Amino acid sequence: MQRLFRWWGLAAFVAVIAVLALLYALFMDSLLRHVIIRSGSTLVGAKVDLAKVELHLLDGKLILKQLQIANARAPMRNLLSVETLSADLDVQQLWWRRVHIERMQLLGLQFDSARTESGALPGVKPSGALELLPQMAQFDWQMLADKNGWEKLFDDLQLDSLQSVAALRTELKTAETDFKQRIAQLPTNEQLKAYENRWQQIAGKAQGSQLERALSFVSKAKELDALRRDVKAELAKVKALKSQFETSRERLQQHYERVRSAPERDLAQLLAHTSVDLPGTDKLLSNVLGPALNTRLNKGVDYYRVAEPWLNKARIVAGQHPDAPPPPARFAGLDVQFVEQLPQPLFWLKQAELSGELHWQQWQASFEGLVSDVADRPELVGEPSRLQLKASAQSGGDMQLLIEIDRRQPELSAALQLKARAIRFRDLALAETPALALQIEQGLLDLDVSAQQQPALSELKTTAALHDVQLRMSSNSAERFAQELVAELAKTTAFELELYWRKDAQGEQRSLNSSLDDIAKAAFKRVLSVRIAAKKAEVKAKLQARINSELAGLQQQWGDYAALENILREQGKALEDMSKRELKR
Amino acid sequence: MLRTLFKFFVLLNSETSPWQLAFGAALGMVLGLTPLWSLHNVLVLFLLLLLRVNISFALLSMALCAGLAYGFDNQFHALGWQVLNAPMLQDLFNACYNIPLLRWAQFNNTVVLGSLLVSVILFLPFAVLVRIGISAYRRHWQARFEQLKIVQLLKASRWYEALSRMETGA
Repeated sequence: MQRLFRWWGLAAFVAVIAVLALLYALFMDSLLRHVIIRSGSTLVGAKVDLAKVELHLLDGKLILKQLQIANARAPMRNLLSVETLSADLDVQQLWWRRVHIERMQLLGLQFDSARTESGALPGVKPSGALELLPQMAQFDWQMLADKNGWEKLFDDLQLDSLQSVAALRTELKTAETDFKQRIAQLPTNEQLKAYENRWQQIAGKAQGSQLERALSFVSKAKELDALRRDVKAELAKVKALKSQFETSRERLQQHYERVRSAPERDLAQLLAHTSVDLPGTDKLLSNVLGPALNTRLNKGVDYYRVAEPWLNKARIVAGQHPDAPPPPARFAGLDVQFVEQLPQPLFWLKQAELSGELHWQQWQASFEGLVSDVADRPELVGEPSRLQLKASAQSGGDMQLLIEIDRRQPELSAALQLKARAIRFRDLALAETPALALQIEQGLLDLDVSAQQQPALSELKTTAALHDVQLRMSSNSAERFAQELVAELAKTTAFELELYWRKDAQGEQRSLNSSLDDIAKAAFKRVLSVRIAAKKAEVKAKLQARINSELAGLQQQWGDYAALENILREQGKALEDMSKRELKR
Repeated sequence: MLRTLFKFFVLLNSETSPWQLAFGAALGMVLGLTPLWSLHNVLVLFLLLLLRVNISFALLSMALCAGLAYGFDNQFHALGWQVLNAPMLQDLFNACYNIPLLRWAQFNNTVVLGSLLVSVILFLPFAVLVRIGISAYRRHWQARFEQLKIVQLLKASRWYEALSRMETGA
């Protein structure tokens, strides 16, 4: 036994364990801090900073101090930052390698706070922004910068008169084709000649005795009656067609006269600013607001994207094929799950209390919230994960947020409701293009956001009502027209925005509506009308010249159509003459 | 202090028979092939200290095998996956899964189980191979090795002199 064992080795083993325990006591907190930073950065795709970690295993207490999670898309901002995070762990569950947090407190929570240094990770690209807004026809604001910008606008107007010319052209073409087909069914020249030949035969001098000549006359009279009947039948067809042709020609003539007088009507409508339809003017301002709105919406989407990989984490159960082999690193591999006698989630955050400050466009509010039942196996918890947040400001305004994420079924479903009322904000930039810049210096906001994620459906609806608004608008256009338009729009004190996005099996729908568009369009028409009124005669002459030019192109077509009447007239005359002929004794 | 440390170092290297070196290397192999911070390595460490095996050789073997293990992680994972999903062993694994200590031993991790199985299977053959290798070295190569200039330089150094004195003293 002496040769096999060295008994002092037992003391050495105890000494090694003691040294390890000492190292744990000295360095465990630092090691845990590095693990949290490394795994957090990998999950988020941006830097995670953590000042201090305190782990008291025997008490089941974990404390994190000054946690900052950077925003991958805006590296100088944090997605969120927490002053102190303290968690009470269930020590009994730790024996089973489960982390159950009975209660967590997050104090000093802030969203979108500034960082002192960039939180970008080298070589990591943030995921692309979602296109939540529809593609809209562009209105060329730059055109207003041209010297005669408004005149060019006028050239592009979709006026009734021009549309009427197009309609007339089509109608004329259709009528010509139709009558040509029907004329083709009338007796041809050969048929008329045949009738003539029959007449000649009937009218030929009779031969023979007086009796024979008398009998021949009777027979010829009968033939003449038959010929007359045939000719009259053809004549009736021709007359009917001629009557229809005359009606059609009269109608087309009236249409023609209406088109010729259209410029007068167009001018009246322009002056009454009721018919101004240019590409893009339907969504004059929505187009300008679009990019800024898309950016703000994607900020919210970023929070979901950070949580998404963790929410959709796959579990490897015995008997199920693994997703992929592990990376070639030590301590990797897959943990296979087996049947537990008392099944429990491996991770379960039962309840977390949040409190902090919310800052948005100089609106400052304190908030409190509760997160409950976040677990890796929600089917064992029996409840969906929830986040409830309430914020209120001393200066007025309040906000309520409720998010529910249900992973108890294989397919994830989630719902979000956000209500904000009377948020008094300042300096909100809605558009920052040189052609048209729009900033709200101050205003009151009421906001409703609802979103849902179902297995076959994603939907987002946002309604924002802004009132008591002070707008500041500017354009780099030197054109007075543009400046007048901007001045009109800047008088707005209230408007609404509505965004809808939906994706399902049928496809994707997006719409953006804004009452600012109606305001802008009305202002646009008013300013344009004033310009047109000042140059009434000139505008009318221009419109008339355009119409005359279009109508000149119709002359050939009109001539071809009118020529059909000649054909009918000639045929009718020939048949008429033939029907009146008498036999000579 | 330095003297105590040297004494400790000499003690570590006092087991120099071929079998002591071989089993030391085999235990080191287990430490090297399997993830270091696994619970079963506490038992391996205990055996390493309790049994009269050469600890330095064990540490050397551990370092070499740890380097090799990086290239075999996928194979360990594949083996571990096959074993953990073997139908005839499911009842056993279900029972083990409900014992907290075995959970901490991470028996249900594919790389841990796969590498442990490989190191257990290779334990005796590895020890025998090392034993044969050491005997062959001592018989055929040791004399030539000691003739090398670098070895002579090392032997002439103060450190080696001090070590020899310690050994003699021990």
